[in-house]
Amino acid sequence: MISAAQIARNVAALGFGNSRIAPIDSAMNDEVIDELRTQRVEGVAVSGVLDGSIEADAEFVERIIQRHDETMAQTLRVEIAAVRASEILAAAGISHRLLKGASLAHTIARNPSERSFRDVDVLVRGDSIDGAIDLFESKGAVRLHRQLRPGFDARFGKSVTMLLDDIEVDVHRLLCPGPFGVRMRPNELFFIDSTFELAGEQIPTLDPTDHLVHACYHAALGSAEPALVNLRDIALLAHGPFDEERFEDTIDRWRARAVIQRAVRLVERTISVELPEVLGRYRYTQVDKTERGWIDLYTVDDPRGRFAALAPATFHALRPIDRPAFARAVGFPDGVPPATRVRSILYRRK
Amino acid sequence: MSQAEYRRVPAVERELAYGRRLIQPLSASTPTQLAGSAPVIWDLLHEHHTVDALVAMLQQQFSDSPEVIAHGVRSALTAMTQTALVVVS
Repeated sequence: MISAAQIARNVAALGFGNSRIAPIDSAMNDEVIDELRTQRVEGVAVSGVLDGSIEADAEFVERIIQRHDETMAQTLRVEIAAVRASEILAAAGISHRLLKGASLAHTIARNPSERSFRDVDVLVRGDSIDGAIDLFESKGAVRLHRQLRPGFDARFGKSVTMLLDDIEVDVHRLLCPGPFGVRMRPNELFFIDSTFELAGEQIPTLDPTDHLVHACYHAALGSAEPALVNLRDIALLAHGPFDEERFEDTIDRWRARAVIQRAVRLVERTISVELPEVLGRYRYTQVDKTERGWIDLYTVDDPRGRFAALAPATFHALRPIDRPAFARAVGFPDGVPPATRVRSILYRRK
Repeated sequence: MSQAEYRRVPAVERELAYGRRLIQPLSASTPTQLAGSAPVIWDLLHEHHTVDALVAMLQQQFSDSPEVIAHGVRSALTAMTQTALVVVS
Protein backbone atom coordinates (compact mmCIF):
# COMPACT_ATOMS: atom_id res chain seq x y z
CA MET A 1 0.00 0.00 0.00
CA ILE A 2 1.26 3.46 -0.85
CA SER A 3 2.11 5.47 2.27
CA ALA A 4 0.67 8.86 3.25
CA ALA A 5 4.15 10.35 2.87
CA GLN A 6 4.40 9.03 -0.69
CA ILE A 7 0.93 10.34 -1.54
CA ALA A 8 1.99 13.79 -0.31
CA ARG A 9 5.15 13.59 -2.43
CA ASN A 10 3.05 12.67 -5.49
CA VAL A 11 0.71 15.59 -4.76
CA ALA A 12 3.68 17.97 -4.51
CA ALA A 13 4.70 16.87 -8.01
CA LEU A 14 1.26 17.34 -9.59
CA GLY A 15 1.52 19.21 -12.87
CA PHE A 16 5.05 18.00 -13.58
CA GLY A 17 4.45 15.00 -15.76
CA ASN A 18 2.36 12.98 -13.33
CA SER A 19 -1.22 13.96 -14.00
CA ARG A 20 -2.93 11.32 -11.87
CA ILE A 21 -2.43 9.87 -8.42
CA ALA A 22 -3.42 6.35 -7.35
CA PRO A 23 -6.78 6.31 -5.52
CA ILE A 24 -6.47 7.14 -1.83
CA ASP A 25 -7.52 4.30 0.47
CA SER A 26 -10.40 5.48 2.70
CA ALA A 27 -8.75 3.92 5.74
CA MET A 28 -5.86 6.37 5.31
CA ASN A 29 -7.91 9.56 4.99
CA ASP A 30 -6.84 11.01 8.37
CA GLU A 31 -3.19 10.19 7.86
CA VAL A 32 -3.08 11.57 4.32
CA ILE A 33 -4.88 14.80 5.22
CA ASP A 34 -2.52 15.38 8.15
CA GLU A 35 0.53 14.76 5.96
CA LEU A 36 -0.73 17.08 3.21
CA ARG A 37 -1.22 19.81 5.78
CA THR A 38 2.18 19.24 7.43
CA GLN A 39 3.85 19.43 4.03
CA ARG A 40 1.71 22.46 3.08
CA VAL A 41 0.47 20.98 -0.18
CA GLU A 42 -3.19 20.65 0.75
CA GLY A 43 -4.06 23.44 -1.73
CA VAL A 44 -2.53 21.40 -4.54
CA ALA A 45 -4.50 18.39 -3.29
CA VAL A 46 -7.75 20.38 -3.41
CA SER A 47 -7.02 21.34 -7.02
CA GLY A 48 -6.31 17.65 -7.66
CA VAL A 49 -9.58 16.35 -6.26
CA LEU A 50 -11.54 19.01 -8.14
CA ASP A 51 -9.90 18.37 -11.53
CA GLY A 52 -9.99 14.59 -11.12
CA SER A 53 -6.26 13.96 -10.87
CA ILE A 54 -6.74 12.65 -7.32
CA GLU A 55 -9.33 9.95 -6.68
CA ALA A 56 -10.68 9.83 -3.15
CA ASP A 57 -13.96 9.16 -1.36
CA ALA A 58 -16.53 11.86 -0.53
CA GLU A 59 -15.39 12.06 3.09
CA PHE A 60 -11.82 12.82 2.04
CA VAL A 61 -12.97 15.49 -0.42
CA GLU A 62 -15.19 17.17 2.15
CA ARG A 63 -12.52 17.16 4.83
CA ILE A 64 -9.60 18.32 2.71
CA ILE A 65 -11.73 21.20 1.41
CA GLN A 66 -12.74 22.15 4.95
CA ARG A 67 -9.10 22.04 6.11
CA HIS A 68 -8.05 24.09 3.12
CA ASP A 69 -10.74 26.71 3.87
CA GLU A 70 -9.26 27.04 7.38
CA THR A 71 -5.72 27.27 6.06
CA MET A 72 -6.70 29.97 3.58
CA ALA A 73 -8.35 32.00 6.37
CA GLN A 74 -5.07 31.90 8.31
CA THR A 75 -3.06 32.64 5.14
CA LEU A 76 -5.10 35.80 4.51
CA ARG A 77 -4.27 37.05 8.03
CA VAL A 78 -0.59 36.58 7.26
CA GLU A 79 -1.00 38.22 3.87
CA ILE A 80 -2.50 41.32 5.47
CA ALA A 81 0.53 41.47 7.77
CA ALA A 82 2.73 41.26 4.65
CA VAL A 83 0.93 44.21 3.08
CA ARG A 84 1.25 46.16 6.31
CA ALA A 85 4.96 45.36 6.71
CA SER A 86 5.63 46.50 3.15
CA GLU A 87 3.59 49.69 3.65
CA ILE A 88 5.49 50.51 6.86
CA LEU A 89 8.86 50.12 5.16
CA ALA A 90 7.81 51.93 1.98
CA ALA A 91 6.40 54.88 3.94
CA ALA A 92 9.78 55.28 5.64
CA GLY A 93 11.63 54.99 2.34
CA ILE A 94 13.30 51.68 3.29
CA SER A 95 14.04 49.63 0.21
CA HIS A 96 12.80 46.05 0.69
CA ARG A 97 11.75 42.82 -1.02
CA LEU A 98 8.98 40.51 0.14
CA LEU A 99 10.30 36.93 0.08
CA LYS A 100 8.73 33.47 -0.30
CA GLY A 101 5.12 33.03 0.95
CA ALA A 102 2.82 35.69 -0.45
CA SER A 103 5.26 36.55 -3.25
CA LEU A 104 5.45 33.00 -4.56
CA ALA A 105 1.69 32.46 -4.10
CA HIS A 106 1.00 35.40 -6.41
CA THR A 107 3.83 35.04 -8.89
CA ILE A 108 4.61 31.36 -9.49
CA ALA A 109 1.86 29.15 -8.01
CA ARG A 110 -0.70 27.87 -10.51
CA ASN A 111 -3.27 29.53 -8.28
CA PRO A 112 -2.56 31.51 -5.08
CA SER A 113 -4.90 29.14 -3.23
CA GLU A 114 -2.40 26.33 -3.79
CA ARG A 115 0.36 28.07 -1.82
CA SER A 116 -0.20 28.64 1.90
CA PHE A 117 2.27 30.32 4.23
CA ARG A 118 2.59 30.97 7.93
CA ASP A 119 4.79 34.01 8.28
CA VAL A 120 6.09 37.09 6.52
CA ASP A 121 9.67 37.27 5.24
CA VAL A 122 10.99 40.61 4.12
CA LEU A 123 14.52 41.44 2.98
CA VAL A 124 16.16 44.79 3.69
CA ARG A 125 19.70 45.99 3.05
CA GLY A 126 22.18 45.36 5.86
CA ASP A 127 22.59 49.05 6.53
CA SER A 128 18.78 49.42 6.88
CA ILE A 129 18.06 46.56 9.24
CA ASP A 130 18.48 48.48 12.51
CA GLY A 131 16.23 51.25 11.18
CA ALA A 132 13.67 48.70 10.00
CA ILE A 133 13.58 47.01 13.42
CA ASP A 134 13.17 50.35 15.21
CA LEU A 135 10.42 51.27 12.79
CA PHE A 136 8.50 48.03 13.31
CA GLU A 137 8.85 48.42 17.07
CA SER A 138 7.42 51.94 16.81
CA LYS A 139 4.40 50.39 15.05
CA GLY A 140 3.81 47.95 17.89
CA ALA A 141 5.86 44.97 16.70
CA VAL A 142 7.78 43.00 19.30
CA ARG A 143 11.20 41.52 18.78
CA LEU A 144 11.29 37.82 19.83
CA HIS A 145 15.02 37.48 20.53
CA ARG A 146 17.32 40.24 21.58
CA GLN A 147 20.43 41.13 19.63
CA LEU A 148 23.57 39.35 20.90
CA ARG A 149 25.48 42.64 20.98
CA PRO A 150 24.79 46.09 19.51
CA GLY A 151 25.50 46.02 15.78
CA PHE A 152 25.32 42.21 15.48
CA ASP A 153 22.14 42.19 13.32
CA ALA A 154 23.54 44.57 10.73
CA ARG A 155 26.98 42.98 10.60
CA PHE A 156 26.45 39.24 11.13
CA GLY A 157 22.75 38.42 11.54
CA LYS A 158 20.64 36.55 9.02
CA SER A 159 17.28 37.91 10.19
CA VAL A 160 15.37 39.34 13.12
CA THR A 161 12.09 37.71 14.07
CA MET A 162 9.31 40.01 15.21
CA LEU A 163 5.61 39.72 16.01
CA LEU A 164 3.46 42.24 14.15
CA ASP A 165 -0.27 41.99 14.88
CA ASP A 166 0.45 38.50 16.29
CA ILE A 167 1.94 37.41 12.97
CA GLU A 168 5.60 36.40 12.74
CA VAL A 169 7.58 38.78 10.56
CA ASP A 170 11.18 37.84 9.75
CA VAL A 171 13.22 40.86 8.73
CA HIS A 172 16.09 39.45 6.69
CA ARG A 173 19.51 40.81 5.90
CA LEU A 174 20.63 37.51 4.35
CA LEU A 175 18.91 34.52 2.74
CA CYS A 176 20.59 32.07 5.09
CA PRO A 177 22.74 32.04 8.23
CA GLY A 178 26.23 30.60 8.60
CA PRO A 179 29.11 30.38 6.14
CA PHE A 180 26.96 30.38 3.01
CA GLY A 181 25.32 33.54 4.33
CA VAL A 182 28.75 35.13 4.71
CA ARG A 183 29.54 34.27 1.10
CA MET A 184 26.41 35.77 -0.44
CA ARG A 185 26.14 39.38 -1.61
CA PRO A 186 22.66 40.36 -0.49
CA ASN A 187 22.69 43.86 -1.94
CA GLU A 188 22.67 42.27 -5.41
CA LEU A 189 19.09 41.22 -4.66
CA PHE A 190 18.18 44.91 -4.91
CA PHE A 191 19.58 45.39 -8.43
CA ILE A 192 16.36 44.37 -10.19
CA ASP A 193 13.02 45.95 -9.35
CA SER A 194 10.13 43.51 -9.43
CA THR A 195 6.66 43.88 -7.95
CA PHE A 196 3.35 42.08 -7.68
CA GLU A 197 -0.07 43.49 -6.86
CA LEU A 198 -1.70 42.79 -3.55
CA ALA A 199 -4.83 44.56 -2.28
CA GLY A 200 -4.25 47.29 -4.85
CA GLU A 201 -0.66 47.91 -3.74
CA GLN A 202 2.50 47.18 -5.72
CA ILE A 203 4.62 45.06 -3.39
CA PRO A 204 8.38 44.86 -4.09
CA THR A 205 9.73 41.34 -4.42
CA LEU A 206 12.55 39.37 -6.05
CA ASP A 207 12.51 38.60 -9.74
CA PRO A 208 12.07 34.90 -10.71
CA THR A 209 15.84 34.28 -10.96
CA ASP A 210 16.52 35.56 -7.46
CA HIS A 211 13.40 33.76 -6.17
CA LEU A 212 14.89 30.54 -7.58
CA VAL A 213 18.22 31.21 -5.86
CA HIS A 214 16.40 31.84 -2.59
CA ALA A 215 14.13 28.80 -2.95
CA CYS A 216 17.23 26.61 -3.41
CA TYR A 217 18.94 28.14 -0.36
CA HIS A 218 15.83 27.71 1.75
CA ALA A 219 15.25 24.08 0.79
CA ALA A 220 18.92 23.09 1.01
CA LEU A 221 19.89 24.93 4.17
CA GLY A 222 16.64 25.48 6.07
CA SER A 223 16.27 22.04 7.65
CA ALA A 224 17.17 18.38 7.32
CA GLU A 225 13.88 17.60 5.60
CA PRO A 226 12.31 20.62 3.94
CA ALA A 227 8.53 20.75 3.60
CA LEU A 228 7.33 19.53 0.22
CA VAL A 229 5.90 22.95 -0.58
CA ASN A 230 9.47 24.29 -0.66
CA LEU A 231 10.55 21.62 -3.14
CA ARG A 232 7.51 22.35 -5.30
CA ASP A 233 8.53 26.04 -5.26
CA ILE A 234 11.88 25.09 -6.81
CA ALA A 235 10.19 22.92 -9.43
CA LEU A 236 7.74 25.70 -10.36
CA LEU A 237 10.46 28.36 -10.55
CA ALA A 238 12.89 26.14 -12.46
CA HIS A 239 10.27 25.30 -15.07
CA GLY A 240 9.21 28.92 -15.42
CA PRO A 241 11.04 31.76 -17.14
CA PHE A 242 14.28 32.84 -15.45
CA ASP A 243 17.67 34.16 -16.47
CA GLU A 244 19.85 31.03 -16.64
CA GLU A 245 23.06 32.95 -17.17
CA ARG A 246 22.48 35.23 -14.20
CA PHE A 247 21.49 32.24 -12.04
CA GLU A 248 24.77 30.45 -12.79
CA ASP A 249 26.74 33.64 -12.40
CA THR A 250 25.20 34.31 -8.97
CA ILE A 251 25.87 30.77 -7.78
CA ASP A 252 29.50 30.98 -8.94
CA ARG A 253 30.15 34.36 -7.34
CA TRP A 254 28.41 33.36 -4.10
CA ARG A 255 30.33 30.06 -4.19
CA ALA A 256 27.10 28.16 -3.59
CA ARG A 257 27.35 25.13 -5.87
CA ALA A 258 27.03 22.82 -2.87
CA VAL A 259 23.78 24.56 -1.94
CA ILE A 260 22.26 24.12 -5.39
CA GLN A 261 23.50 20.54 -5.54
CA ARG A 262 21.63 19.66 -2.34
CA ALA A 263 18.50 21.51 -3.50
CA VAL A 264 18.49 19.73 -6.88
CA ARG A 265 19.03 16.33 -5.29
CA LEU A 266 16.25 16.96 -2.76
CA VAL A 267 13.76 17.87 -5.49
CA GLU A 268 14.68 14.96 -7.74
CA ARG A 269 14.86 12.34 -4.99
CA THR A 270 11.89 13.47 -2.95
CA ILE A 271 9.24 14.54 -5.44
CA SER A 272 10.81 12.96 -8.54
CA VAL A 273 10.54 16.09 -10.66
CA GLU A 274 13.22 16.37 -13.29
CA LEU A 275 14.72 19.84 -13.39
CA PRO A 276 15.97 21.71 -16.47
CA GLU A 277 19.60 21.04 -17.37
CA VAL A 278 20.80 24.41 -16.08
CA LEU A 279 19.97 23.11 -12.59
CA GLY A 280 20.36 19.41 -13.32
CA ARG A 281 24.05 19.85 -14.07
CA TYR A 282 24.66 20.76 -10.40
CA ARG A 283 23.64 17.20 -9.49
CA TYR A 284 27.19 15.92 -9.88
CA THR A 285 29.09 19.18 -9.59
CA GLN A 286 32.43 19.10 -7.79
CA VAL A 287 31.98 20.17 -4.15
CA ASP A 288 34.92 20.40 -1.78
CA LYS A 289 35.06 18.62 1.56
CA THR A 290 34.69 21.78 3.63
CA GLU A 291 31.48 22.76 1.87
CA ARG A 292 30.05 19.25 2.25
CA GLY A 293 30.79 19.55 5.96
CA TRP A 294 29.04 22.91 6.09
CA ILE A 295 25.93 21.46 4.46
CA ASP A 296 25.73 18.87 7.27
CA LEU A 297 25.79 21.66 9.85
CA TYR A 298 22.67 23.22 8.34
CA THR A 299 20.70 20.01 8.72
CA VAL A 300 20.67 20.15 12.53
CA ASP A 301 16.95 20.67 13.12
CA ASP A 302 17.03 22.16 16.63
CA PRO A 303 17.47 25.93 16.01
CA ARG A 304 19.75 26.46 19.05
CA GLY A 305 21.87 23.45 18.20
CA ARG A 306 22.04 24.65 14.63
CA PHE A 307 23.27 28.09 15.63
CA ALA A 308 25.93 26.54 17.82
CA ALA A 309 26.95 24.14 15.06
CA LEU A 310 27.21 26.92 12.46
CA ALA A 311 29.08 29.42 14.65
CA PRO A 312 32.61 27.96 14.19
CA ALA A 313 32.11 27.61 10.41
CA THR A 314 30.77 31.16 10.24
CA PHE A 315 33.82 32.38 12.15
CA HIS A 316 36.17 30.80 9.62
CA ALA A 317 34.19 32.09 6.63
CA LEU A 318 34.35 35.68 7.90
CA ARG A 319 37.13 38.09 6.97
CA PRO A 320 39.83 38.06 9.67
CA ILE A 321 38.98 41.64 10.58
CA ASP A 322 35.38 40.64 11.44
CA ARG A 323 36.21 37.56 13.47
CA PRO A 324 36.96 39.13 16.88
CA ALA A 325 33.62 41.00 16.98
CA PHE A 326 31.73 37.88 15.92
CA ALA A 327 33.50 35.71 18.50
CA ARG A 328 32.87 38.27 21.25
CA ALA A 329 29.15 38.52 20.41
CA VAL A 330 28.60 34.76 20.18
CA GLY A 331 30.86 33.85 23.08
CA PHE A 332 29.89 36.62 25.45
CA PRO A 333 26.53 38.13 24.46
CA ASP A 334 25.18 41.19 26.26
CA GLY A 335 23.14 40.44 29.34
CA VAL A 336 24.80 37.09 30.11
CA PRO A 337 27.46 37.17 32.86
CA PRO A 338 30.77 35.80 31.49
CA ALA A 339 30.95 33.13 34.21
CA THR A 340 27.51 31.81 33.25
CA ARG A 341 28.49 31.77 29.61
CA VAL A 342 31.73 29.85 30.29
CA ARG A 343 29.81 27.29 32.38
CA SER A 344 27.30 26.91 29.52
CA ILE A 345 30.04 26.31 26.93
CA LEU A 346 31.82 23.79 29.19
CA TYR A 347 28.54 22.00 29.88
CA ARG A 348 27.80 21.73 26.13
CA ARG A 349 31.17 20.11 25.51
CA LYS A 350 30.60 17.31 28.02
CA MET B 1 -31.13 61.87 -8.91
CA SER B 2 -27.96 59.86 -9.51
CA GLN B 3 -27.79 56.29 -8.28
CA ALA B 4 -25.45 55.20 -5.50
CA GLU B 5 -22.17 53.73 -6.70
CA TYR B 6 -20.50 50.75 -5.07
CA ARG B 7 -16.84 49.84 -4.95
CA ARG B 8 -14.93 47.19 -3.07
CA VAL B 9 -12.46 48.10 -0.32
CA PRO B 10 -8.76 47.07 -0.43
CA ALA B 11 -8.69 43.39 0.53
CA VAL B 12 -6.84 40.15 0.15
CA GLU B 13 -8.67 37.16 -1.24
CA ARG B 14 -8.49 33.51 -2.20
CA GLU B 15 -10.56 31.27 -4.41
CA LEU B 16 -12.04 28.33 -2.55
CA ALA B 17 -13.49 25.11 -3.91
CA TYR B 18 -16.84 25.19 -5.73
CA GLY B 19 -16.56 28.79 -6.88
CA ARG B 20 -16.53 30.27 -3.39
CA ARG B 21 -14.30 33.22 -2.51
CA LEU B 22 -12.70 34.12 0.81
CA ILE B 23 -12.14 37.85 1.22
CA GLN B 24 -10.60 39.84 4.05
CA PRO B 25 -10.44 43.64 3.89
CA LEU B 26 -7.14 45.03 5.14
CA SER B 27 -8.96 46.65 8.04
CA ALA B 28 -10.93 43.52 9.06
CA SER B 29 -9.97 40.90 11.59
CA THR B 30 -11.88 38.03 10.00
CA PRO B 31 -12.59 36.99 6.42
CA THR B 32 -15.97 36.81 4.71
CA GLN B 33 -16.96 33.99 2.39
CA LEU B 34 -18.82 34.73 -0.83
CA ALA B 35 -20.67 32.09 -2.83
CA GLY B 36 -23.05 31.82 -5.79
CA SER B 37 -22.93 34.90 -8.01
CA ALA B 38 -21.43 37.13 -5.27
CA PRO B 39 -17.79 36.47 -6.36
CA VAL B 40 -18.70 37.64 -9.88
CA ILE B 41 -20.18 40.84 -8.48
CA TRP B 42 -17.12 41.30 -6.27
CA ASP B 43 -14.88 41.05 -9.34
CA LEU B 44 -16.88 43.70 -11.16
CA LEU B 45 -16.60 46.05 -8.19
CA HIS B 46 -12.91 46.73 -8.77
CA GLU B 47 -14.41 49.86 -10.34
CA HIS B 48 -17.29 52.03 -9.13
CA HIS B 49 -20.63 50.75 -10.44
CA THR B 50 -24.29 51.48 -9.90
CA VAL B 51 -26.83 48.69 -9.42
CA ASP B 52 -28.13 49.29 -12.95
CA ALA B 53 -24.64 49.05 -14.44
CA LEU B 54 -23.97 45.82 -12.55
CA VAL B 55 -27.27 44.34 -13.72
CA ALA B 56 -26.49 45.27 -17.32
CA MET B 57 -23.07 43.62 -17.15
CA LEU B 58 -24.41 40.47 -15.47
CA GLN B 59 -27.18 40.15 -18.08
CA GLN B 60 -24.43 39.44 -20.59
CA GLN B 61 -23.20 36.52 -18.47
CA PHE B 62 -26.41 35.01 -17.08
CA SER B 63 -29.65 34.06 -18.78
CA ASP B 64 -31.93 35.07 -15.86
CA SER B 65 -34.42 37.89 -16.26
CA PRO B 66 -33.27 41.45 -15.41
CA GLU B 67 -35.59 41.41 -12.38
CA VAL B 68 -34.03 38.24 -10.99
CA ILE B 69 -30.53 39.55 -11.60
CA ALA B 70 -31.37 42.93 -10.03
CA HIS B 71 -32.76 41.16 -6.95
CA GLY B 72 -29.58 39.08 -6.65
CA VAL B 73 -27.35 42.13 -7.08
CA ARG B 74 -29.21 44.12 -4.40
CA SER B 75 -29.05 41.19 -1.96
CA ALA B 76 -25.33 40.70 -2.59
CA LEU B 77 -24.58 44.41 -2.22
CA THR B 78 -26.54 44.61 1.02
CA ALA B 79 -24.57 41.68 2.44
CA MET B 80 -21.24 43.10 1.21
CA THR B 81 -22.02 46.51 2.65
CA GLN B 82 -22.93 45.00 6.01
CA THR B 83 -19.66 43.08 6.12
CA ALA B 84 -17.72 46.20 5.01
CA LEU B 85 -16.49 44.59 1.80
CA VAL B 86 -17.83 47.45 -0.31
CA VAL B 87 -18.32 51.17 0.19
CA VAL B 88 -21.13 53.26 -1.24
CA SER B 89 -20.56 56.70 -2.70
